[in-house]
Amino acid sequence: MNAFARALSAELAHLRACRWDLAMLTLMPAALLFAMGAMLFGGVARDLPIAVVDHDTTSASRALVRAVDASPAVRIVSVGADLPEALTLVRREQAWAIVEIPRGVGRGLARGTAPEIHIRYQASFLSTGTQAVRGIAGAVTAESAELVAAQLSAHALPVLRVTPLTVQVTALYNAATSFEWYLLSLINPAVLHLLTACVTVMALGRELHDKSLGAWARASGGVVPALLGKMLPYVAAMSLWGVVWLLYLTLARGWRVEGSIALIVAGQSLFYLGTACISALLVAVTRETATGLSASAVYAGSALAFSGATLPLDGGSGFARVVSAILPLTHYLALQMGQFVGDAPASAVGPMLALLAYVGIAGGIAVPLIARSARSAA
Amino acid sequence: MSFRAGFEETWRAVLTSRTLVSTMLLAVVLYAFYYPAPYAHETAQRVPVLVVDQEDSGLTREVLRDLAATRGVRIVDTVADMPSATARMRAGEADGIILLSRGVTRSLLTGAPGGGVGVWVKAAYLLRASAIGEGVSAALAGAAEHRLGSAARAFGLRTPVRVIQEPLFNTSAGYKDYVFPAVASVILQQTLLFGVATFFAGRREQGAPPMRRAAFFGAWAAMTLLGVFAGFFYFGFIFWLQDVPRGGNVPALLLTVPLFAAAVAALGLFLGGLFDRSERAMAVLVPTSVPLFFLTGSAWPLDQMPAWLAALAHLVPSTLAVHIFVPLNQMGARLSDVAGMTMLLAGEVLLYGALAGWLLTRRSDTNPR
Repeated sequence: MNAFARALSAELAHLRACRWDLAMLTLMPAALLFAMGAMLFGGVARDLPIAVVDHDTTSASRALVRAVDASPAVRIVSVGADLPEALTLVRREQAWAIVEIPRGVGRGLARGTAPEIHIRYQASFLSTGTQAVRGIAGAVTAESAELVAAQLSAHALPVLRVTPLTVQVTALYNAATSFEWYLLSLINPAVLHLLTACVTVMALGRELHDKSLGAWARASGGVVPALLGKMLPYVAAMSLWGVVWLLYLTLARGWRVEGSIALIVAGQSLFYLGTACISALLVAVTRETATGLSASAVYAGSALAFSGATLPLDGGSGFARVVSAILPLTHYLALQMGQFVGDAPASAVGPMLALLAYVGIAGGIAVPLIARSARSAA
Repeated sequence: MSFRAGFEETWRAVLTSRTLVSTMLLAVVLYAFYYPAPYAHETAQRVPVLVVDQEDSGLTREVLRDLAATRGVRIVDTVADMPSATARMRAGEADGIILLSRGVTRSLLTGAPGGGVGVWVKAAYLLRASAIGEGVSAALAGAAEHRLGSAARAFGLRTPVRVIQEPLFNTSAGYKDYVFPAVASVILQQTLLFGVATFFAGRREQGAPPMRRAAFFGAWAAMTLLGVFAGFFYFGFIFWLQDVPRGGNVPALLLTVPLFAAAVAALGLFLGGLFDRSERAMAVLVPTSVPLFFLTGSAWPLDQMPAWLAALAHLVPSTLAVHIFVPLNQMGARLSDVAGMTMLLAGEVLLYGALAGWLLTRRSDTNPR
């Protein structure tokens, strides 16, 4: 048997014997992916609780309240006349936003003053607060235009429709602006990346004896094939979970990948292989499983924040942009998101080459380090 | 072993172990600077867009000048027609296309239909998409106001109702000011959990005898104190240094931070007692970090999750912590405002404390091997 097959069968035998390590390839990814999928199943926020402070209490303000309540994004849980009371509701997280309607809202144009409707929203939980405010603002703007028209005719003035020029924003590839499609696209590769990093550090770390991989490397019959054989079950398992997740998104949930799924699947396997190479490098350098795991927690655990996929890094600091360019998740997500929205296949070449570089560079440094430890221990 | 001996032995073990010092102390300091770095610029800036200006009039040029001056978007190029703009967006050059159609000025002046502004954004990146939409709307409103302002005033026309949006607590609606205070609870939990579970899994791996009850409480107190230090280091110093919004309710923190640290330490003691090897603790717990952050409800609210998942999320101390510490630290909440979550946290101290005490002091578990 050659070194590759020997390492592979040894690793498979270990996985059969060690419930913990086997669970990390089966139960753990299943549970984490399932939890994230279930979390975002709703996709678009509905009936977010909000409060109304109505200083007007006329038919005009009641019409506004009804219009806001009819917006599917929000539901009114309190109508009062006291702003501090409403603020307490926001502090208690019982309301995501407050609509404050001033006195005389319906008579604005006739009186020659433009009343101000304030929408205060929870910005400490910015993501949800913003969703609530969008739902409210649309309803308020539409309804107030109606009110003004009605007020004008009530004052025997000609109905004059001031139509503000609308900006028609079309959301391509995610028409419903769904968080399911947006966040699951980002979270699940990040989760599988971190899992791959941890299981591969554990796999190679198990071979450390007296802080050296020397004994394992000497017995292996070739560092490169042995390393590949050892890592194969992990890279294959995570790639399969990646495919399961893609099938869930597309077949079960109906999201559409405009570009090439094959390219995404290939990129994913390359991404996890690169992660395994980084783990090999971490174990070879730190010669300690715990430190390798700590390093993985730092670099892979915060990779999503640095990927620029949530908050773009175009305005970020030099440090943030350099770290972002060094981390593999950035390049994988660039490839994946490009294919999701149907970017030209040529735009995938750069990210693919970057992902290949992790295999080449991290693997290229790790292998001689391990080989040297084998010689020095001999 | 007495309470005091258990306490002292735990502190000594932590401070003399390179692994534990680096996971429990150094990592806490590192994350305080590393994690906020990609969010330091607070808002989406310079999102690349392509422009198709079919009208090419004074007004549209003014809109484009305003747009070029806003932080939110960066105009990559002005393109002649839509097909070539679409092709270049597909080549990955831009995240959006802005079309100023022929007749836009006439529509603005007369309200006549036909002219308008179209924006197409790749909404696969939701945050970038909204940055483009907001930037265009603001630039257009500004240019229209400027151009038509005097004429409109002469006719007595004005916006009938002004709708003003005000972000509360995080008054600049900044991204770091939103993410970092929330993620801080997850960082504090995970670093303490990694350390405690690693230490007690190592104890089990070495076949240590079951603990006396007093020693167990000593060890728990020692780990809790470490967590309290880390908590106040973040809420007192790092939040100030990173300049996130602070409405610090210090008396309430004096109660809730020790409760949080005690709950996490107890969970760590319990999990540590289940793992077969010291490294297992981190190998299992590290991959949960990303999902646990999302399960706090910071990005997607808890009340929009399936009820069973939201209930499970409440079993994790970091979920409760986010909804206690963000109100106390950022919103100026009173203790009574977070009473419900604080009671749940106290419940977790008892639950995980009891589980850990049972597991680590029981007689039968002398040697796992």
